[in-house]
Amino acid sequence: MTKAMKKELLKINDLSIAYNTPRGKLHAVRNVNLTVHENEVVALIGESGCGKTTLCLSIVQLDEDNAQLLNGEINYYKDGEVKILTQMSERDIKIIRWQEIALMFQASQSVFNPVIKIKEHFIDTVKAHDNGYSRKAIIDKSKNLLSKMQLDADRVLNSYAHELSGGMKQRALIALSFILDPKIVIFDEPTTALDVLTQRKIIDLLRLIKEEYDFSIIIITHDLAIAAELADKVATMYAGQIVENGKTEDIFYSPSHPYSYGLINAVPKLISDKCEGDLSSIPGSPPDLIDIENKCQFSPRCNFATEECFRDEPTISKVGESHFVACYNYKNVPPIRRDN
Amino acid sequence: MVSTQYLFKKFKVGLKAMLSDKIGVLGISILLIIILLSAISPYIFPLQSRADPTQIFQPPSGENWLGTDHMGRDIWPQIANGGRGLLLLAFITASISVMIGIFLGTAAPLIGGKFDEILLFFADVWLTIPRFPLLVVLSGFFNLTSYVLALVLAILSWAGLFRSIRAEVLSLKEREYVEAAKMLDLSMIHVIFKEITPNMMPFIIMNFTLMMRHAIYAQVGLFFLGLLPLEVNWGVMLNIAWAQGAIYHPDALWFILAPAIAISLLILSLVWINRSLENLFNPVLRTDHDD
Amino acid sequence: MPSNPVDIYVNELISSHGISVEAARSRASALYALDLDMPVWRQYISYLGNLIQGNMGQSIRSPGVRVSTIIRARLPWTLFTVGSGLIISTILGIVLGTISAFKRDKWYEPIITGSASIISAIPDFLIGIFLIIFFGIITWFGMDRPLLPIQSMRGTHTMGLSIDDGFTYIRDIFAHGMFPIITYVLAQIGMWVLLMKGSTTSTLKKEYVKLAEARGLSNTKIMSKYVARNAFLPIATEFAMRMGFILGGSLIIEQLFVYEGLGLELLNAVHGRDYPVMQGILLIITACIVFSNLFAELIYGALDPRTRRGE
Repeated sequence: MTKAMKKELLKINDLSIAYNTPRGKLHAVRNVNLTVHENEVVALIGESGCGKTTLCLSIVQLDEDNAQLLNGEINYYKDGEVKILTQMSERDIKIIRWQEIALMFQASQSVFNPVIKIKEHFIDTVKAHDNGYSRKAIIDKSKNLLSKMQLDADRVLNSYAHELSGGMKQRALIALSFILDPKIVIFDEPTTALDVLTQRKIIDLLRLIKEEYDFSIIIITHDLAIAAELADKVATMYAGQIVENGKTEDIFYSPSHPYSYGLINAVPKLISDKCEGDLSSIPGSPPDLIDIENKCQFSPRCNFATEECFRDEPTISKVGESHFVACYNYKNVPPIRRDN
Repeated sequence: MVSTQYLFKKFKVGLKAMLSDKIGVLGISILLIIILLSAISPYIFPLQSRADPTQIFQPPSGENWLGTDHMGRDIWPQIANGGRGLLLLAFITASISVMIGIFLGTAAPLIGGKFDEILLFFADVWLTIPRFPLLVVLSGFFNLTSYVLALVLAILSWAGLFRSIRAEVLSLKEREYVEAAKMLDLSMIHVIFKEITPNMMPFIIMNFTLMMRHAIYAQVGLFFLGLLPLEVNWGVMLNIAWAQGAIYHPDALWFILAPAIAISLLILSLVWINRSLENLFNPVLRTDHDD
Repeated sequence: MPSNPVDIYVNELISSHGISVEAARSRASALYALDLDMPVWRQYISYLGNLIQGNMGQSIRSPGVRVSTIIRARLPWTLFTVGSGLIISTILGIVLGTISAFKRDKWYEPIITGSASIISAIPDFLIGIFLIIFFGIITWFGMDRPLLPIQSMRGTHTMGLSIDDGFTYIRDIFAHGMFPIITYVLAQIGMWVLLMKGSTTSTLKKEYVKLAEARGLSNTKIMSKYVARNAFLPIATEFAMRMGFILGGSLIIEQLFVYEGLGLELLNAVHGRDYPVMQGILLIITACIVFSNLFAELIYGALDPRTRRGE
């Protein structure tokens, strides 16, 4: 799995997004930098409310009406050309959506329109992009994809959403996301609300399809097992910022940010016979993103915090090759012990 | 287990939230004013029973705030006293029909089987009865007095509540505490009134206001059509004002406008209270209204 | 037993016309096409039997006139006014409700929603009274007479005009039906606005709408196939249910505007103790509700696949 010399596909530069709320501006995404290369799987991990979803919605310009771009831009590279997604017109971004970048939501009960059949969703999607496909060609391709997801393609296409189980809907949705051969697929919590066995199956299918096609994945999750298993790169988000960013192995074995350390340590290790320190969770709660103080946002919950953490927000330090962290005391964060 | 203390606390929290809802406060204020007027009017604004031919259809003045009627009597005391009967009757109707609804609605799913099926079928048939036309026809067959009317109205309108409560009980039935109570071998009555009913209180209160609204509409309608015995209330005032042609008397407009507005305000207050209760008890709807 | 209309009728005949019991009974028997010597339940079965064959008996107030004839003469007027009211209010309500769902940050949105919630609470006949006062009674400042000549607008149409008069007739029936129609529209429009607004607002928040955007669908497609079709479901059901009450809701309004439809006929029958007419009209009203409920279920089955079973 060599990632060297891969071309850049998506580049987020110094992006800040705030929501206008009655109480004031809520800074959901703050000065985020992130690069996604071709064929790369990037996992965004962090607690809910840390800005992961806002970040992903902004990639395809689907933020809520009260969201406001404060600074920065998102660049998408296609055939050597740069497209600035954050400055695109409604018409142009519609072409990018799903065809280049497919954003998938959590497979809750209502991702499919309840009054039309699943097959209509496939057809509508393709027709919206005007590729000159015939109805028959669309159906054939859908069937192919659905079979890859180990579904009874004919049955699923002719079903309504309420006739499918949660796991089937999620798999149908994944099949739908590949109907236009996108370059990037964004999965927002692909396995929450599914039972453990179905989760397993979805992960396996994702790996399978990843081996077959060339595309990049951005996966939002708070299930670290999924991140560890699928991702090449992991970015930890806290309070709207990416606080650590690096190769999966680096983050999981030698995290440099106390928050990453806490998250990874919070995963119960079945094999270890003794409980380590704070096994359940990180004490405390994320800060209010409306009144942001000038300090390390994680400092109140941090075991490694020193005086300077409360004085000023840390800048990004380079820890190793493509491993970055925003922490003053990253050298004090111990590696994760893998006793097994 | 639901203790009275818990319920009281919940009620207090609910009341606080309701008072922060302007529409709800307006509704409660109007209703309270009407209730207050109904209580004090016999002493402060007694009805004038003697006709005064010299004062027929007088416009509003300092003496007669809303003018006078076709017999020269002051209209204001009639308005002040005219809500009492309607409110009382609506209250009785709503109480009876809610009681029938609660009793059958909880008993049917708990007993289950044929009993449940038959009742449900019955309720479905009941819901197709055209209530108001039937009341009109019934008043042609019988002499309906106020209390008989309350009973008939209640009997005519139990089915809707029965169905909602039945559905609610079916879902509550699965919850642990009812299971636990059944395992403790507590009686059915206990299960109904101690375990299930308190949990559906918000729902029942909302239905109560809705039922009162329907009862007021039906009563006023029947009074207006002159199908019920005459007494002093807003519906009868409308009927008399209409029959006496007050509407064509520019000076007597208040004879017909006053009861019409009073009835509208009474029903509006119930609707607003109902709406604010709905916002209160249904957080999903609440977010819908807020943003 | 005062609940037996035939007995009441016989008693009335005896007391008011001073005829013998025998004569009265034979007259009643002829009238209801019933054999009065049969037990009451057999008489009722016999009445039902006649009903099934479309025979609802004859009117008491106007002997010799069949109930079905009366209903046939009155029914179209009620259908015309209440039906127009229902259709107009639904369309206006859908439009206003959609506007207020999409323009929730505009200044006029609270005005639409607020007036809708107030007007939907006021009983229809009070709306009728307010309308009469506003348009037909009050002489507004600077005018020498009220806005509309309310007296001459009573009834269903001007005497002497018939369908042969073509356009004049059409204009005439609309002029006469105007007040009842406007009343029905105002009485229902608030409910439609609130229903449509609520339905659209909640549909817009659904994930499938957001996903349709993510899939790059055009706004027209999203609005028609994803939002409208779902937001419409509760409207369609409510419409079908309301069709059932199309006949029963007209009693007081027709009395108010002296509009000779089914509702006014029922009231007159009640006042004149015309039992066969009362029964006949009540039957038609009930049948209308039953059929509408069936219709509502059919519509819902056609529009919402979730309610279909066993495919």
